[in-house]
Formats: sequence, structure tokens, C-alpha cells
Amino acid sequence: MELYFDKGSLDEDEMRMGLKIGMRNRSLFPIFCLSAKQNMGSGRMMGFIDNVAPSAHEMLPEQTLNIGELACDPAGVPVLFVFKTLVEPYLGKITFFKVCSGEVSEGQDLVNYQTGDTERLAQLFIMDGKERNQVKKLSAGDIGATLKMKGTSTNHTLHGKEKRVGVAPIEFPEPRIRSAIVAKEKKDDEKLGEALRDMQTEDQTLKAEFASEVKQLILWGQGELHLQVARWRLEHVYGIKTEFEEPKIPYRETIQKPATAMYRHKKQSGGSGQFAEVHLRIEPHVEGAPDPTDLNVRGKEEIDLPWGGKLVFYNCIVGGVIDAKYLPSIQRGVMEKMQEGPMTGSHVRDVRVMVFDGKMHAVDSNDISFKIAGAQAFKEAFKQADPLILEPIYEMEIMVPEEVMGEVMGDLQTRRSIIGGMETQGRYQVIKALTPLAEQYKYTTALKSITQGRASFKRRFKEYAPVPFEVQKSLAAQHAD
Amino acid sequence: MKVYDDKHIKNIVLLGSVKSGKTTLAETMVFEAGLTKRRGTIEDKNTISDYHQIEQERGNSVYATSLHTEWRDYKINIIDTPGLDDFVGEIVSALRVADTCVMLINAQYGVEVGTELVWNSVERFAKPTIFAINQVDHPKAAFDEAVLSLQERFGTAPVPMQYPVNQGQGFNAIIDLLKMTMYRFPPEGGKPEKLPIPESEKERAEKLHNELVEKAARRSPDGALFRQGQPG
Repeated sequence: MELYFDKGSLDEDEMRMGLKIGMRNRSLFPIFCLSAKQNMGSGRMMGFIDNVAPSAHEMLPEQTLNIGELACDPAGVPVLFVFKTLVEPYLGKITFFKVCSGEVSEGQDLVNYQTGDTERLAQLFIMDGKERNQVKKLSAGDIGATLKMKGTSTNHTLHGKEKRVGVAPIEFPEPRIRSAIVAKEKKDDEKLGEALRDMQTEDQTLKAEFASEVKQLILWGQGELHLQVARWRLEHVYGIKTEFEEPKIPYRETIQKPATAMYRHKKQSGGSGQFAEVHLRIEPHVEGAPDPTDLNVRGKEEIDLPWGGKLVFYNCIVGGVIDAKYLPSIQRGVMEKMQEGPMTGSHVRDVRVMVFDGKMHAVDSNDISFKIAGAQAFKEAFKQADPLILEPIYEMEIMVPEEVMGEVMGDLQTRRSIIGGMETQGRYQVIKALTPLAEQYKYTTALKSITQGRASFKRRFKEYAPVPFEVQKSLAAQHAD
Repeated sequence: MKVYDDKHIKNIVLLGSVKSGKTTLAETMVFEAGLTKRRGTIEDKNTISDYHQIEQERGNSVYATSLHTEWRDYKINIIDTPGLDDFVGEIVSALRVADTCVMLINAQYGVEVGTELVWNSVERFAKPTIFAINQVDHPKAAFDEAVLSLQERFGTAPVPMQYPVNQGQGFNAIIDLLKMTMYRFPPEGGKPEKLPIPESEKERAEKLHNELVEKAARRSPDGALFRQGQPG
């Protein structure tokens, strides 16, 4: 060692200082080697963590929601940040927190920043897996846990009564995959909803939602394993047996050519009757297309559909054959059919509808009659307009080691994908492809098994595109059953 | 339990891809400190960290688990995280409260896809990071290649503090480049014997030591710490 000092080098303490600074500003990542299994090397690394790795008080102060920065000061106001909660069978909810500032003691009352409620720290623990070591107090920079906190969940802050402080919450990543979930027994339906609500506060990377379009309860998560663990917890912690189902694909329907149809709704046998006759033409909607010139356009409404795409509705009635007050009823009828499309019951998009003729009756015509006539005329026209089923297409980006690229591409082709290109990124290849959502069920699992877990992928919605003819035939047949 | 003040508490999070040995390292850190009499193993399903039934069924972590060890005068709070990206939520919340990340690297594979995925989260929180190249006793261990893969991926920041003298089967010695000492472990592991660096390793050790000194010096804010004749 002498040699290095003579040369004008650093002594060990100076080295430690330099390393600590390098670590803090992340210009230096020390590399250790060890065999955890043989118990060789962990002692030296722990010594380094003791002497060099920064403590909480040497790190940048916490960001808060209301008072700017909060220093890790044991003499400051008590502030606990809840970073995790976990419900354990027999034990109930465990709340894990970091003491960001001040000192807390057993039995102390704190205020939840988010709810404004008072919570008591009945007991304080340092956790070692499932073992709990009870302690009397914990101070700034330490990590501990407590039990029986009803209204406090992940990302909440508990603070002393003297000062309100809310620590900046963790931003969790958005869920990536989904599956439909059903309770095996009907009586558990309600319980399932509640359990999932509970689980979402515990694990904010999990999301459950009722997809009204396909009428399924959808569970979103980070991967198939994540969803399986959720299901395991539902069974073992909440006592609800569930099953996963393939999520239904939100198809869309549209048309490819113009068609005309009429419908007469008539019920005139005794009492007050119903009468309406509607003639309409439907055409594919193309953004920026000119209005029809062969019809007398008297009114036009462009509606952005909540499920994407548009309906353009034209009033082309001449000579008052249908009273203007019935036009909205006809439009409602059309919308009803667009919500539940004639082919598969999926939403219809990108159509324009021109109502150009019809008949009414002075006594028997009313709103409901015109709604029915509008819906039926639309349905008739739709069937003749060369209808098309569209499916959601996703842009996939798959990162794979070079050796398994061929297999991954082969698999993508069996999934009706269009390969868009490849890029080298370090030792990996990034494959870009367009893949229909219908072909992606359990893709993570498939990718894992093809690549022994060495690949990853992300995807995002790109567009709706027509399904192949064979697929359309089978989807339409399924709906007809 | 002994009470530690804020200056003597370190919060670390163990990160890394699947099977890089996080749970085993956590177990070892507690055992080595003498807090447990027996070292649990994944195979025997008795580690401190993987205590959930589902983890024992699967043989890997699903939850981030908090535990602690006491080394010399310090308490080290450890959060052992799952390696699978499926459990990124557990990883992210652990990262949020840790002050140092210990990223385990499998000596056989170097940087893996799993490492990259976890790293994306580490970057978001910008926490100080230690790389621990584990399983250097594996017959296919390749420490130098693993270091290279770290430097290829993360630039010049990763710098060895140690290297194994005899990686692979029969591994039992490490050269420490900060203390310039060789540590030789007894066959059952545990406390190593401190020995002078053998003649055959001197050249390599000195070269790597100098690299480490330069890195440390360049990071010192105080001009006095810079090596003479080697500004910034």
C-alpha cells in the first residue's frame, strides 16, 4: 500500500469519500463478486454498505405534495410514507412504511394526509419475513411496519398532528395484459368485486374493470404470472374460486359500399296505432369526403362515436314527407343498431346515413315508431352494403437475444402478424410487428417458453383493420347461432 | 432489539433477474451476521424471505420482503424483491424507499433481459447502485465477461472493487481492490482469512486498484484529493 501513497494516491478514507460521492451522483457503480450460496463474500459487501453506501440522511430530501422538500431529520415532524400494504391470512393488513422524518413511538396517533383521519400506531415492528420484532420507537431513515390500519393504504402519508405533510406518491406502471375473470359460483360475484377492489389498493399495478362492451369482468396486470398470483390470492385469502376466460375482442363493424333500404313500421289494429316509414341510404364514411350532391341536404350532424370512428347523419327530406321533429327519433334508432351491430353485435363505426324519404300518418305516427323504422331500415341497408368486421391491431416491440430471433419471428407469423422490421440494440434484436389482439392471448407465456424468459415486449393499440374473410365468416356464424 | 440512530441505518434493495440469487443473498447476509443459526435455502423452502406458500410452491419470490441484518455497528434494512417483471409493482415500491440498490448479476450470463427490465425501474428513481456478481463458484462463471457486459451496457460507471482469484468450482478467494488484500474463505464459507496478495496476482491487482483510485479521485469534490499531476 505504501507504494500508492508515495505516488500521491488516496488513502482508504479518502477513497471511501470519493466512492460515496461517485455512488451518490451515480457516476460510479461499485462491482462486487460473491457466492451467496457458499456464503462467500457477503461480509465484505456489508462492510462496504456500512462504510460507503449513503444513508437516508445523505440522500436528496423527499419531495412532498404540499411543503416542497422534506429533510430526513430525526428532530423534525414525524412523517411516515406507506410504500406497501399486504393482507396476510390470520394476521390481517400489514402496513409497511419508511420514516421520512422525525421519530414515532408505539401508541402514537398520526394523521393520514390523504383521508384526514387519525390512525394509531398500536404496535411498531421491524419485519424479518413473517417474523415480527416489536420495537418501541423508530426514527428518521428507518423502515418498519404496523398492523390494524384500516383506512391507510399504499402511497398514503401519516404525519404528526403539528404539521400536515404529504410525501410524493409512487407512480406505478400501467397494466400490460388482461384476462376475463369469473367466479366459479354465481353467489360469489359480489364478493369477487369487493375482493378485487381490496387487492387493487394493495397492488396498484393490478386493475379490475367491467368492460360493458363485451360484458366481462376484466383483470389487468403486468403479466400472466401476476394474474395467476391474483387468482391464487382470491382463492386462498378471500375464499373465492375463480376462472380465467379469454377476453372477448372488441370487434367493430363497418361497410364498404352504398346501399339503400326502406322500412315501414305499422300497427293499426284497434286503439291508437303506430305508423312510420323511413327510406335511407348508407355509405362508408371517409374523412373529408364531400356531402352527397344527388340529394337535397337540409341538415347534417357529425357524431364522434364513443367507441371510435364517426356517424354522419343527413336530413335529406323533401317536401315535409317526414316532420323534422321525427328526425332525432330516426337517428336514435340508427344509433341503437350501431351500438349493437347487425353482424356480430359489435359497435359499428364510420358510416354516413342519409334519410331521404318516408311517410307519416297524422294520427298514428310518433317517436317510437320512427325509432323502430330507422333502426330496421339501417339494419336492412347495412346487410346489403358489403359489411366488414374490423379487429384491433397492436404495434408490438419485442426485444430478443439474437439466437432466438428466428423462433420468435416464426411464432409471430402464426399469429397473423406483419413484421415491420428489426433493429439491433446492444446484444438484442428489436422486432417490430403489427399483430391482431385476437392472436395475443397468453402471448407472454408463449414468448417466455420460446426464449427461456430472455425476451420482453411492449405493445400499444395502433388501429382497427379488416379481419380475413375466413375469420369474418366464422364470427358472423357464431353470432347467428 | 438494539436501537440505531439515523446515521447507522442503511436501506438496501436486492434487485436482479430471476435466479440471480437475491433471496439466497438475503439469507446469507442475515446468517453471516449471526442473527440466525441456520441458513435456509430455496430448495428446502425455508428462507426468511420466501415465506408465502405460493413462493414456496413456485420456488421464486412473488412479493418484496422486508428483513434486516446487523453488521458491525450498522443496521441494514434489506428488501428482497422478485426478479420477474410481472411483479414490477413490488420492485418499484421497494426502490422508492431504498437508499442503495444492490443489483445481482449472474456470473454465467452477465447482463440479462431481466437485468435490463429491472434497470428501467432503477433509472426512474436514480438511486446509488452496487453490482454484485453472484455465483462465481458456478462451473461456467465468467466474471470478466460479466464486468464487460456491465460496462457495455452502463458505460464507464461500473468499476470492480474486487475480483475472484479462482472462479468456478472450488472458488474460495477474492482480491479486494480497495483494501488490497486477498480474502480466502474456509470451505464452509463465512469469515475469510486476510492474506497478502500473491505474487501471481500482483500485476493485475495493482492495475485494477489504480483504475479504482482514479475513478474515486475524479469524483472527489475536494481538490486536495485529486492525484497529483492528474487534474479532474
